[in-house]
Amino acid sequence: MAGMLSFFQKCRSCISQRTIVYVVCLLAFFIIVFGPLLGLFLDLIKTLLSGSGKITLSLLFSERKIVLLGESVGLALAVSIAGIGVGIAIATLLWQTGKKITYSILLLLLALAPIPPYIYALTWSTTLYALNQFLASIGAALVPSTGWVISFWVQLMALLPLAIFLSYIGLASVDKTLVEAARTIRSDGRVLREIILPLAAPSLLVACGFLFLISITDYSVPSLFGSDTYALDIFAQFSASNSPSATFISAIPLLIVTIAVLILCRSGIRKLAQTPNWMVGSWDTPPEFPTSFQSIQKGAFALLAVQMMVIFFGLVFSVGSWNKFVSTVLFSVNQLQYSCLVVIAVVLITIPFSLLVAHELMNQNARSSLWWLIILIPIAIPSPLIGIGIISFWNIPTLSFLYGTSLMPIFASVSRFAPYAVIILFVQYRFIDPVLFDAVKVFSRDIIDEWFEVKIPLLAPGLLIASGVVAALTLGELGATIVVVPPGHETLTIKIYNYLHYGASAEVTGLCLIMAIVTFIIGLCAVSSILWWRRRGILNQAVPRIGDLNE
Amino acid sequence: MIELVNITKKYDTVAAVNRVSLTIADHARLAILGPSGSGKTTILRLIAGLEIPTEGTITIDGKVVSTPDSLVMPSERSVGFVFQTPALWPHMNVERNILFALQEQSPDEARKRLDELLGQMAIKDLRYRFPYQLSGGEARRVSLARALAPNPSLLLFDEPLIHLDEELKTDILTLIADNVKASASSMIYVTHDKREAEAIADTTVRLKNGQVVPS
Repeated sequence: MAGMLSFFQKCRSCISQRTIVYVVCLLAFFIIVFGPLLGLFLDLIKTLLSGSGKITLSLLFSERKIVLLGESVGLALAVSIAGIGVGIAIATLLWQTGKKITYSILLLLLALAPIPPYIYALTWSTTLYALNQFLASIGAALVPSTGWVISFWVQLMALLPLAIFLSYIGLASVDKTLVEAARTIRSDGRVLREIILPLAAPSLLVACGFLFLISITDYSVPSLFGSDTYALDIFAQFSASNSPSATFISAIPLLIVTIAVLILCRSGIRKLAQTPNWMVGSWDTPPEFPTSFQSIQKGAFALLAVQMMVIFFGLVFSVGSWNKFVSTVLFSVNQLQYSCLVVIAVVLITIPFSLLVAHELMNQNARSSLWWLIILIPIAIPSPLIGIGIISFWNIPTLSFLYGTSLMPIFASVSRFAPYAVIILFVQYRFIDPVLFDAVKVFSRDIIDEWFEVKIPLLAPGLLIASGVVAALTLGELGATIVVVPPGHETLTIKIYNYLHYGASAEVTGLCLIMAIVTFIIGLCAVSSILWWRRRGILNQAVPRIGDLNE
Repeated sequence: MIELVNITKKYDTVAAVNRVSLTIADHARLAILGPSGSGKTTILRLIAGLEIPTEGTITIDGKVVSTPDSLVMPSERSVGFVFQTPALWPHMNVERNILFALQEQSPDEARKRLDELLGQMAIKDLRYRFPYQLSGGEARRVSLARALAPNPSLLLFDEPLIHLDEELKTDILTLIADNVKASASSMIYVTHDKREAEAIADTTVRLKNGQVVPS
């Protein structure tokens, strides 16, 4: 007994209170984020051990599944490659404009990026309806309003703002001096082809992979246009069988694809996050590209203009009158309130925990590659599977007081979007000279002063941007929330998605308009905070660290 | 001949270069000397066409190449630029880095010129190496070879010895001086080191706060 006591006393003297709090917080974070996956694994093992007949190989390899996987991969590949193609054309067009215009357009795109894809689905189906009416009146062939082509188109349009932004970052990640060294020798067209594109290829590949993951794990757009995707099939499988393990088994082929893509992109994401010098990416003298490429640029820009007009006019004109809009708002007050509560809770949980993880990533050199993979894994998990995993993990007798409460949709969003917050906060850390943190250690007397007087003000831009991104994504979250939302509650997104199946009406458009305005305002706030801090010189240049980019 | 007439370059409201006029005769070797932030690099970038002047005109061999409203592209100015860092393209080996500057020539001519430069710079053994496999001094030699490769009419050096140790500085400086003498090019060499300027140039211009000041 005395020996045990002395062991605990020894442990207590070795491990500070601060370390214990730190470890407990990290543990809590990992339980919330990875709990769904753990739940699915445990459920699968339990089912396998009990010899349940539900688990068969046909869940993995039926002909239908293989075709569905092929179609889903095809759609995601087409969307991501086309997105990056258009993105490159527009990003290079931005080089030909002034810095102010470039930044304004990039920031506008950043604010548009979080608008949920189903809103694009609504506006494009309205536009298509009008177009087909016109085509019918002149006796021309109609544009198909369901199927893969329209699913591809709408998903491309929905991801276009993000695709352009990521392409710009990819191209701007090329060292400016290397571009200038080439410009003194060769024409700009050849510089683009032989220097910029090969050097930017790893970053563009990461961007492409990122778009691929978003596209393949989202089912909202294809399902609204009558195309079955693998992600939707996971949801359908669960609805039909109510068996998490069977659903998990059937999701494995898709998981293999998404995790393989994530592994391919992991190192690139890490490099881009470690050297975020894309803030200074514009050219001092505008490039002159060949006429053929200029035509492609103009075409891509026209596409972006059409996309913006469709979302703007599609929502504004379809909403009907002001009175109708007000009545829609009043009609959805409960859903709005509930969505706001979920968003606030998600931000409050995600940001402090993500800050800890980002801090831990900064301290991990040799093991960071594995850490990055772990942190990024939730991005590769289809959203319905996260919802199902939450049911498996939390729906046990000991945790029954939590299960079935509003904590479940909150945990679903934390699990899905925490990786984004970690990446943003990691990038923010990179913009701060580590000497400033060393100085805090020397001069600060207590942890409260350390955080509130120095660290939080220094990290404030990242904290605000991460909060904005997480809030906007949570507001539009559908796949996981729809599975775990408690009875009697409904988020705005679920209400819109349910209504959308009955076609576009003034009510749906009104709800979408509210959603678009709210996400746009959140995006705009995040963007404004970037500008505010940049003007104060806080976000101007990433500070290199010893051991950067070492695998 | 290169002529800068009343050149001003402003970033927002701050003038990095303020009404500078300079004439550089053919085959001249000019050093621009000045402390950090005096506008030396900006002048080189303006001459190379990497910046647009806010005011003034730049002419090369009688042809107007830069005004606030018009710009001849950098690749059409026949300039060779050696940057503060070697600026070698990491996806190309040494040979390809140099050959990229020789694409106007026929393949046989380009190969011949490449061999000549590799010999001159004593980097023949490095031709298949990639930039990450080179030491700092070796990378500078490749960078110099690339700038000299197309026999440009004007060579621009932007503090090429910065960040090098003393021994390597002397080595590379001698290499630059020898090669510039052997070429028919004019040269503008930017530095904050008076000894460097005296060792390499015939004429020195002093710059302070974006303006030419008497030596």
